[in-house]
Amino acid sequence: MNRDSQQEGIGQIAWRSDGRVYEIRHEEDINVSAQKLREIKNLLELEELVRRNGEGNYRPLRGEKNLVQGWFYSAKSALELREVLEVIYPGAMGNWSAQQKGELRVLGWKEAAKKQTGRVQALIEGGEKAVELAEKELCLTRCGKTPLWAEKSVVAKVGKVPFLCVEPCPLFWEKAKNLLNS
Amino acid sequence: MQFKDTALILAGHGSTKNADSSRFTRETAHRIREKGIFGEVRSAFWKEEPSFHEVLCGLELKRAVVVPWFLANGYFTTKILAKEFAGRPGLECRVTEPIGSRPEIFHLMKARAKKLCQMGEHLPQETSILVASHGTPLHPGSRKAAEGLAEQLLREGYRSARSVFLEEEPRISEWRGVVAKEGPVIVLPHFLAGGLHGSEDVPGLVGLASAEEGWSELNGRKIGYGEPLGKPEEMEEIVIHLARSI
Repeated sequence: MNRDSQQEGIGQIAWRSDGRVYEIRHEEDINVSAQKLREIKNLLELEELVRRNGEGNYRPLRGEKNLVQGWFYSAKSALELREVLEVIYPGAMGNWSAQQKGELRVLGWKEAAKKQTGRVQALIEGGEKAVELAEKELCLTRCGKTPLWAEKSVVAKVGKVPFLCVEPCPLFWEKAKNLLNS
Repeated sequence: MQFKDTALILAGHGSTKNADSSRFTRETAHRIREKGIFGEVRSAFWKEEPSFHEVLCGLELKRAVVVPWFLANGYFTTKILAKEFAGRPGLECRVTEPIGSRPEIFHLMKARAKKLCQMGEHLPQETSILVASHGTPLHPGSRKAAEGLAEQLLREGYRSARSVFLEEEPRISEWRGVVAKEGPVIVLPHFLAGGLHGSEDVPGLVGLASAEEGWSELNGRKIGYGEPLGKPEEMEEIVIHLARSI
């Protein structure tokens, strides 16, 4: 892909397009020769790639800043690009699109906790400190998303699609529960 | 028949600990998308991304059909999914019966039992069947589904067919008190493939060293273990049928 092609990105990935093909890579690999990278040929192969980190461990938090490097995917249409992004960062493009249309619904942590089981609901009364610490240690340290539910604002960057978090994730609940119990 | 104005959502449990839990749900969604029947095809999870809330935020279409990737009409489908997919202004959202409600599930279990009998060269009339399921005191649905399958399997001529559970009585670990005193035993996991229950918990509670399909010997008794349900090639038509029938 020509280096003058238009470049965009979200989270840890970036893509360039010549108007026909979208070449998607880890942002750290954007200037690496394609010959030095492994080509991912379909969405199932991509699912396998993004499911684990560089050490081969499961990464349940897809927004975590530990996406593996060393690969590229050539999407032949904007539709295929959208499906690629859906595999790497599920729900992320939809959140951005909804935000642009003014339709994004953000759930604050107390509202979201009410949907969960009793052990998470226990956070509602007196769990503020645990929630605050979980947000600091997980959301603001390990995750690449902006937690809108924690009233954090997106810092706009040219060529970067905002990577939004609309409600606390299951990993957040686990962390907050553990912090509350300790 | 095309459903180009409809988004299909496969709604599963997922896991924060097990890498394979959502694998077949996601794979089935990819397979169905390639068929081009529905305008959008997404998977969403209780314990993974995207969440049920998030997947609805991101739909382009204003009509969605949700197929629960669950084996019973139990706690998750009746309590959680019904609430999460209640719809919202400008979005019509309908939830189908879970994949486990379809009669194909019995046929898949029956085929697994038959294959194991052939592999072990055992006759059905000498073989006891155990349908190992989850069960939960929170809802009777899971138990009911497993008991129904055991009853249907008994009518196929097996020596006995009973259900055992992770979280209800009779427990999986107490299977010896449930099956015939002698003869081979086939354990059929009533779990979706990829999850820890079917691949680790059930074989462990039975006393087996692995979840591989086939026969092993346990204290002098032949035990056959079947494949969990949920392989994409077995599930995609079930999902499409449920989504189309609503």
